[in-house]
Amino acid sequence: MRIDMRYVVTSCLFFALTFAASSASADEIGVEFDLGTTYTSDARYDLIDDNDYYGDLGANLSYTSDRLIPELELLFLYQRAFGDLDANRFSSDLNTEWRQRRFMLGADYGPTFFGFLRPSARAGAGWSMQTLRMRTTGPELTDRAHDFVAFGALGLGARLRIPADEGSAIDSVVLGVQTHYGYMYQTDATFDQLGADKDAYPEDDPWTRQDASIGSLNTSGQFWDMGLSMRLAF
Amino acid sequence: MTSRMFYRRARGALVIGSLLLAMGSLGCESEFNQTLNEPLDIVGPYESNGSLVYVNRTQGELLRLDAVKENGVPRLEIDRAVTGLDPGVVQLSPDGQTLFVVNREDETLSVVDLSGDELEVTTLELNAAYDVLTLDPRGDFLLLSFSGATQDNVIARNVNQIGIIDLTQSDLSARFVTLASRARELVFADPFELGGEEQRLVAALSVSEVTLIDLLVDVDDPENQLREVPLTISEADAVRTPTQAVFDVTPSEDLPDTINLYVLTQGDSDVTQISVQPSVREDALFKFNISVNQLAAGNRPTNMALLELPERGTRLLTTSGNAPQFTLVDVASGESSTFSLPMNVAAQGIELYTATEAAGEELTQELRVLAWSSQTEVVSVIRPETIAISADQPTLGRSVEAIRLERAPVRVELDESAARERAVVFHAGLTGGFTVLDLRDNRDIPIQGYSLADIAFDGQLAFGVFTGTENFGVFDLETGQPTVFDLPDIGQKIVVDGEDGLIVVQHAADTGHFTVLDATEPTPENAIVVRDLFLYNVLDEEIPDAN
Repeated sequence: MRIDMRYVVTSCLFFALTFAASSASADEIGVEFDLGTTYTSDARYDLIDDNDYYGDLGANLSYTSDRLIPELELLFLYQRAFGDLDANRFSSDLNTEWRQRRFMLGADYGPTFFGFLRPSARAGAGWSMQTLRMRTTGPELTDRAHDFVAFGALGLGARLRIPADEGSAIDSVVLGVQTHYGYMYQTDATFDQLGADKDAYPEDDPWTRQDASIGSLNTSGQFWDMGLSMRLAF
Repeated sequence: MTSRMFYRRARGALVIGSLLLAMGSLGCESEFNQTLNEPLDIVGPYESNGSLVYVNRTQGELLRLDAVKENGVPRLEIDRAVTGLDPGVVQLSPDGQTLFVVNREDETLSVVDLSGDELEVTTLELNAAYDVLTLDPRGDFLLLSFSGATQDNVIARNVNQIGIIDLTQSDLSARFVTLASRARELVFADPFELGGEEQRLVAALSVSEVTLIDLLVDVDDPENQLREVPLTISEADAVRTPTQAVFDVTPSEDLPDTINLYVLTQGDSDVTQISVQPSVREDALFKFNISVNQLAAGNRPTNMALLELPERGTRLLTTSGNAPQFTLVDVASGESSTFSLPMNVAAQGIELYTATEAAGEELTQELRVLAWSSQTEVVSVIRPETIAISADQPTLGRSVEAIRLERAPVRVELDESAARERAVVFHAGLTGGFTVLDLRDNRDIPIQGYSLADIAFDGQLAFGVFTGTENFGVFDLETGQPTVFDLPDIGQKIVVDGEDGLIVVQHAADTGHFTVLDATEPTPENAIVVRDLFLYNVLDEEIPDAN
């Protein structure tokens, strides 16, 4: 069964906002945008990328409540790989196009020093969806892999709390910058059902075609990111 | 724990964790594997027990494709084995059970056992990256030599050296000998007895020289291990370049305890006969006595065949490279005669076959020679048994026959499954069609249409793929009646797996596209198309780095 991620993201946003709005004071909801790099340690990654790393673009939702554990943020993380993810291999006998998206739930804990400096540790786990398109001779072949993904990271951030006007629905707005460094683990993505689109062949095509298989890809590795965040305190 | 202590510990843990991560990141950078930018260089197929074997030189691995039927549905199974680094020359044993691969980078030989369900690789150390493999037709010895072609990354090597591997030993190892000059070709003699002892000889053909290599003599007997036979009196003489050699080890009443080697040299009008006899004297330094004789062989011969004719003894047949002529040489007497071929150009290639004829109630067999040239549509059939050397010009239509094809051949392939009594003649161009030659009745069946890329025989049926078109043809070889339908891509190579009743067609794609058809009913409905098999699980393979 294939789940459209747009619905997942929209649902998570809806529940997070609903939960925050119905909560008592000292709650924060926030959004965080990060730009990062994951360094893959597996030599097999060379087949789909000229580099040993790929870019990550992340958009995270966070929720904090003093009623739970103070300074602990609950996170919904969405990340997608970006950069030059197309490759020509074997003198252009093989062309690949790789895409990756990750959806994770996590937690971030960190004390605040001097009222603005926040070292933190975060961890999370979720689901990764990778798509590989392959072109050789003939129609393009595509396969998707769905894998478990988990990470652990240490971070350092700075936050500026701006009190809201009296009578406002929110207590304050918290703006921040942050950076993280950690390790992203993913189970091997297996691309063993590379098939052509239904319309790649004529309707009356009499041939039965066996899917191609090019094996498993491991994209685990250390990562680094930095970004901006904005939180609303109620 | 107070909150102050908690913060202090948390801060300490963060600092230590950061340091560990920073240290871990050092050295995690790896170089890009440049092999992935090299073109796919795949050689094959080599047919082994109904399987197709390929060597992927780029990735240093061997692939075996086996067509099987599962619940009536055809599919391809794939096995792979790692060879050494940068595989070069490849040779399959005559029985199809063993594949030999020279690995150029690490100067080793991979011996791959193809007989089992699993591919087993044994690796032998060599002393150089040899680029010619010559396998004993009996499968007992493998010889390694150099072609003389320049290779990249070669700093220094002795091209006169050859390696000898005795394949009958359980622990394989190579021994190396150095010839006086580079062996252009190595020719094995069948096992024979001389002086009451089993013998194995190889002729190394070099410029103006032939070296007889005694495979059963140890390295500590160098005089007998290599016997050099000059083809000229002096090195100042015009060079004689051997182009073909053939051993005659059949015992003869005329020349008892003697074997002969016949050497054809480029541009000369004679054949060199090298006779080998055991030394009679007990104090002789050499194991064999060697004598050399020249046999007149017509007008600059380019092809030579040794004929064992029951009625007439052993004869050499040569065809001239200058004129449409052939010469028969009686090797016992040295007598020879030259005759005309019923063609207007010199023969380019010759093929030997045995024709079966009904003589009353009995079947008789007769050795015949098919001579052809790409310059004429007439092919000649020579019946040497019917020709007396001292006789006049043989009668056309009896001793020498002509078959006029629709077009001139570019290649002639004898069908081993029909005991070489049938041949397929390939024609040039995209639409030259092809011809099935019935050599028993000297009858040709021209098939008009596209030129054949490849053909495979299965009893009375032949399956063919064509050049430049996606068609697949089934031909009834008795009637020549073709049945044609489209394949998903242009076929390049076709193999019949008789055991599983399947036909495997390889398409012209570097990454390995195949169609597997049911041999009993080769239709698209009973077939499966498999793509990119040469990239099968490429992500799971450790690809050697060309850096």
